[in-house]
Amino acid sequence: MRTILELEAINLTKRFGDKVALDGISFRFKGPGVIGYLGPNGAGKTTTLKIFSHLLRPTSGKALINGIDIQKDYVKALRSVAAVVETPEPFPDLGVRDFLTMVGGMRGLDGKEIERRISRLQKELSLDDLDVRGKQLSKGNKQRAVLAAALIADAEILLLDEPTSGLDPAETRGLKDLIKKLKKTRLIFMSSHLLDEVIELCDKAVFINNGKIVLIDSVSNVTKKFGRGRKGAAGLEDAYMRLIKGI
Amino acid sequence: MRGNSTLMGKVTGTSSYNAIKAAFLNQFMLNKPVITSFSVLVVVVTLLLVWLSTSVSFTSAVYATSFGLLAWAMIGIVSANVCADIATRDFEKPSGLIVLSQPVERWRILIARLSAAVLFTMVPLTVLYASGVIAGFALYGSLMPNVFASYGFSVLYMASFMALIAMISTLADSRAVPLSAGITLAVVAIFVFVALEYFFGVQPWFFLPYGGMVISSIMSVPYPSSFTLTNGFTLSTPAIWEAAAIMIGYLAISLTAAVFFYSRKDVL
Repeated sequence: MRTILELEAINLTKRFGDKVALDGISFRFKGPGVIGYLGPNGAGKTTTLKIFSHLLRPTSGKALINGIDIQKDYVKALRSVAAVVETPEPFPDLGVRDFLTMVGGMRGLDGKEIERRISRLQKELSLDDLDVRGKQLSKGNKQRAVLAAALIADAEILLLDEPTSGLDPAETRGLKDLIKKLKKTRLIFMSSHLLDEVIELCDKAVFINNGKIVLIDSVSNVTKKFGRGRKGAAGLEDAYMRLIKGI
Repeated sequence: MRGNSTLMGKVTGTSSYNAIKAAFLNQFMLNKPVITSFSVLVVVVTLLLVWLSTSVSFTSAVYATSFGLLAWAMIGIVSANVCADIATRDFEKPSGLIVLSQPVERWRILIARLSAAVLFTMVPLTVLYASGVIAGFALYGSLMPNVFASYGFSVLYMASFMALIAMISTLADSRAVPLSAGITLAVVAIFVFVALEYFFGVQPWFFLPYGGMVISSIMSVPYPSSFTLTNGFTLSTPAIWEAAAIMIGYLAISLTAAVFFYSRKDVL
């Protein structure tokens, strides 16, 4: 039975003491595709992603995944979600295979299914030696191991926080191709500072600044309305400057 | 969740069972080096006790209670080392971002890790008792009195101590806090007990290590109401029921608190 691929925030607010990280944001996305989440550092992007992956509890408001309030039933809600938020790393003292086996186990997969998926992911993500420990991996290999941990779940909704950060050009190309393949059947919500990446991958863009949503629209509409006549990444850059910086 | 179809395959088995198994095995793999090291260390420490016993000509009764005190101190030190990062690792290291975003109740993760820690720490504990019993038999030609009861209380004390360290671990931001708290508790407890009794006339029934003293005192026949230390200070020993109540009470309260704090903690 397929789920409905829906991500919804209703008046989502998160405060850290006096600081308001998220100020009553609301959005709703349904169906497959890639949503780009754009904004300056400290705007609230990672906080939003952390709430949707149950790493933070909201101060008020609701975060719904496929209609399930993550605060009420996070186990059920998270079954549809795989998240790579901030800069996670595999356990330093575990080999990549053991690490993926652990995550697969936490996803309820049995040993044979885990092995099958690890073999598939090894090809898709060009994972080299699966017996290398986390602490011995290069930055790019750590990133790929973490992505493999997210993808082993085979989740319908992916939350990615600057997914190509730390990858070399070839690895970036590989990941972009994978996202393009996945977006046909999955809802991918990704934050990014790379506007050419957003142009290439995203169907919609969400702009956030100072914890408030500034604009939600399709990427093509954003560049058309705010791009000062320029197209592609340049048009999106103009839009970003107007919407976020006010210039 | 049995047989739930996903995009590319089937989820078979029970999800929470596999999740518990994964957390359990993960704890084992992370603890393997420290468990191995302590299994060797306890043999060395027992040999030191044997050397002391022969040098100072311990009687079999003194050997038995000294061994009990050694076990009591070692349990605290090993438990603190094994459990210090049982929760902090998810909040101080980037790997926690992956573990805590999985669809598994956090209390299951914590209980599975704690169960694994208790189970695997029984290895050095058993090695310690085995080497102590063998050495005692070689020295005095008899088994230490009530050694099996002492072992049983050791397991209970270890579980309580680990639950307490786990609770501190859920509140701390770094493994250094529960580690130093645990070792301090294990090592300096006896001095605190003596001071409390000497200066205030208070029996420290509210301290977990006080309950753990039954590990040593139960190997004295008849069961003593107090210890007289070499410096002349006297230290009360808990009654057996009192020791059991202290340990079970600490286990229940620490476990409940650990689960509560771990379940609600934000990953900043």
